Order: sequence, then structure tokens, then C-alpha cells
Amino acid sequence: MRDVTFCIKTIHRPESCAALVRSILKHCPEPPKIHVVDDGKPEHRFKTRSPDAAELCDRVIETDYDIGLSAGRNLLLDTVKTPKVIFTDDDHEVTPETRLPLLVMKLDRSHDLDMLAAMSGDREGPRMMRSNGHTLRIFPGAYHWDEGIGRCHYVGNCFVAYTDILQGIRWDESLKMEEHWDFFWRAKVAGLCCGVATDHVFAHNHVDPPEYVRHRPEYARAAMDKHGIKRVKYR
Amino acid sequence: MSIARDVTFCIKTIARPWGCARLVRSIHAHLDGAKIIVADDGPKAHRFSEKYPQDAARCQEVINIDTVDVGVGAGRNAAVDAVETELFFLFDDDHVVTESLDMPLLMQRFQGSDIDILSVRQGKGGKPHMLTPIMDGQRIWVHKGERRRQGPLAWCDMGSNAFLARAETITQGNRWDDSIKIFEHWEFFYRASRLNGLKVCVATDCSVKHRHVKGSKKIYQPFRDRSQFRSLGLKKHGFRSMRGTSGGIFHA
Repeated sequence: MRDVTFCIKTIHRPESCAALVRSILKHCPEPPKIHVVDDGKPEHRFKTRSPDAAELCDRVIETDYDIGLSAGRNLLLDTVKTPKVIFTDDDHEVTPETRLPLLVMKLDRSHDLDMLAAMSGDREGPRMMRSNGHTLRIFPGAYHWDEGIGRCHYVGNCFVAYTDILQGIRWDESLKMEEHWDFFWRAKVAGLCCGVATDHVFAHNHVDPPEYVRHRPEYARAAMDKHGIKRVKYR
Repeated sequence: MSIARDVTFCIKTIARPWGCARLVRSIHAHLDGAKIIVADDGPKAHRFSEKYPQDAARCQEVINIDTVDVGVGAGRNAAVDAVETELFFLFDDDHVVTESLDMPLLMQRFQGSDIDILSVRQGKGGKPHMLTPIMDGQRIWVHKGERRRQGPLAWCDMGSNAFLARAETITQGNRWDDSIKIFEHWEFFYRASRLNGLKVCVATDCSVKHRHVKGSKKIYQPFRDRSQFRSLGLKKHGFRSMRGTSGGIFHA
């Protein structure tokens, strides 16, 4: 998988990030390149806290504190040199059930797909998005099923995709949160074709990092204003 | 800045004199003292100044290009070359101006910003678009999207053909390609945004009406049905194909 870069944006979860890096190498006979962007505080840096795992990566970029997930992912997009990228959260792990090489092969084989996601534990199956100009609804479903892949509008945070296609969409750096649905709504409008291979699974052991603030309504408001909608409903 | 003093309205038309006259009237109805330049490369009997001499007389200049079908690119270049004001606003001949085109607001936003080309919506169309080279530069992906948003302003790679710009921006550095007679739109914006680094923006709250004039089947339509010019634009930039907004692939 030397034409793939595994991209990890991490903050304040050095142990999780180290476990992810080791899991990639353990379960990929021909491992992808691994790039990490770390925007944590110096005392919680991945390179400082898990130097052995950092050594295993092709590149670790340390940035200013808290540039955010969007800016971090865009930075990763700008630095990779491979045609394909894998993105996951830093608390995901590759397992035998991920069958990562096969997931990448499935993207290669499906000429209509730009992005192929796996399940995150038993969550993040295919979802559809629909807006009536007031409410954006995100609900389970796929518009087409084929060989275990549900083609849909919205997938979770662990996927393989073409670098250049993601370059065309990019993440909105003004949104430090609520960037996920914003990304996939813009991707849907742009005509990006994505799907979920429901028989591929990344393990997800969620850890809230220190100083992590979960609810930040200002970003929700900004994202909704941008698209002229009043609310986002998940089902 | 004032509309009468600082901006010229440019129209390139071919074989749709009725549409052109409707646009000219709508400009006069909504924009006091507007200067208009029309460039017309239609067949002699179907020229705007032949069919609507009274409306033509109200324009600052009607350029009747000797060569019939000189093309959209060359025609627009001729119109913009004739502009004497700092700014110009470009139209297609099937646009119609209504109060939704807020020129004072557009000019105010344009001045003191980094914007080089400020497009407006055309009806439901003219949304901000991006031009993303994919597949190692072999394919250009034309898709809806934007780089950055500030209220109603969306910075992107490509807007509609109804836009405000400095005449100099076009005449000095980003002219239309004379050899591309139609399908010139993406090629013009690709050079502007991706190659020449111009800042393209769409004012999503301003619009013109796009009332498509079918034109005569015998006289107008043959000028449109010429996909060889799409191939020409693609090959010029080394692309072998285009992925369109609805996912269709067009090979050069």
C-alpha cells in the first residue's frame, strides 16, 4: 500500500495515537505511509509522550496549539504525495476485521467511488442527507447496495479516498467543530460519490482528551448560517 | 463610484437580436445612465443593430464584427477592449436585469476587497463552482463548491458569465481565448483562478434572470452544437477528460 498515506490528526491522545500507529503496521503486510499532525500542547505531544511510535511514522508535523481538526486535515492533504489517503480519528484502531488492504482494493475496483468508509465499531453505517432549506436531516440509509457497499451521502470518520478529490472539497477551517456534516453536505452538492463497506470495521475506543470541550454551539450556529438552515437533525 | 461614470455593460451576442434588445431595455430600466457596448458577430440579416436600430442607438457602441461567428471569446475581447471606464460588467445575451442585480452594492463590495471577478447568480444557476484537477492532471473536475465564505460572498474558482471586473484585469492578463468559440466558460475561469491567481467570488444574494432564448434552430443552434471546442479547451491544458457537475465524463 505504498500509494496510500494513513493520515492522523491528533490532539492530547498520545497513547491512542501510538496504539493506532502500531495497529496499522501490525495488520498491513505492506503498510501505507503514515503522516501525523499534532496540534496539542507541548506536554501532551505525541512525539514527546510516545517517541517509539512516532519513530514508526513517515512524518510527524507539530503545529501551533489547537489549529483544529479541519486545518489539521487540510495540512495533511497538502503534505501527502500519494494518490490515496486513509483518514481516521486518533482513537481508532486497525484490527483483523478492518481488512485494510482489501478496503483499499475495493475502492480501486469501484470506478464510481471517490471515497470508501468502514464501520467504526458497530456504528457509522451509511447515511443519507436531505435538506428542505430549513432542516438538514441525516438519517440511516443508502441509495444503492452492491457487494456489501452502501452508496450514500454521509459516512463516518474512517475512510480511504482519493487525495485529489478531497483537495477539491477540503475541510472548512473556520469550523473547529460541526465540520463533519458541513464537509459531507458540500461533498454531496459537489457530486462526490461515497459508500460504506459494512463488512470492514475499525475498532473505536473513545477517550476524551484532557481539556477537551465537547459542546461549542458557536460553531454549530456558524455552520448552519453558512448553509442558510436552522437546524440539523440526526436519526 | 457611480454606475454612469465608472462601469460599462458589455454584451456579446450572436443571432439572438430579440434577446439582446430585451437585455438592453432591462439595463436601461434599472440602471440610470448605463453605458452599454454590444459586440455582435451574427449573420448580417440577424444582427441586433439591423433588427432593433432604436435600442442600438441607445448603446454607447455596437461593434458589428465583420467575420460572422468570430466566437464568444473574440467577441467579448472586442467589447472589453472598447471599454473606457475602469470597471465593466459582462452579460450573456439571454440575461435580463431586474432589481435583484444590486449594482451599487456590488461596486461597493468590489472596491476595497481582494476580488478580481465578482459574479452574480443567474436565476437558480451560477452557483459558486470549483475547478479541481484530478487523476494526476489528466482530468478536470468541475463541481459546485467554494474556498471560503463570508456572509453572502463565496470565493471560488468559477462563477457565472454575469460578472463585474476591472477592464484592465481582462485586457492585460486574462483575455478570452479567441480560438475557443464556445465552451469557453470553464477555460476562462480555469486560467483566471488556477493559473493566474485571480480572486473569483460569487455574490450569492445578487442575481440576473437567465431567460434562455432558444434562438432559431437553423440560424442559432448550429453555432452551439460544436463540442470540438470543448476538446480544444481541454487539450490546451493537457486534460484528457472533464468530470462535469452531474458526474458525466466528457473525453477530449
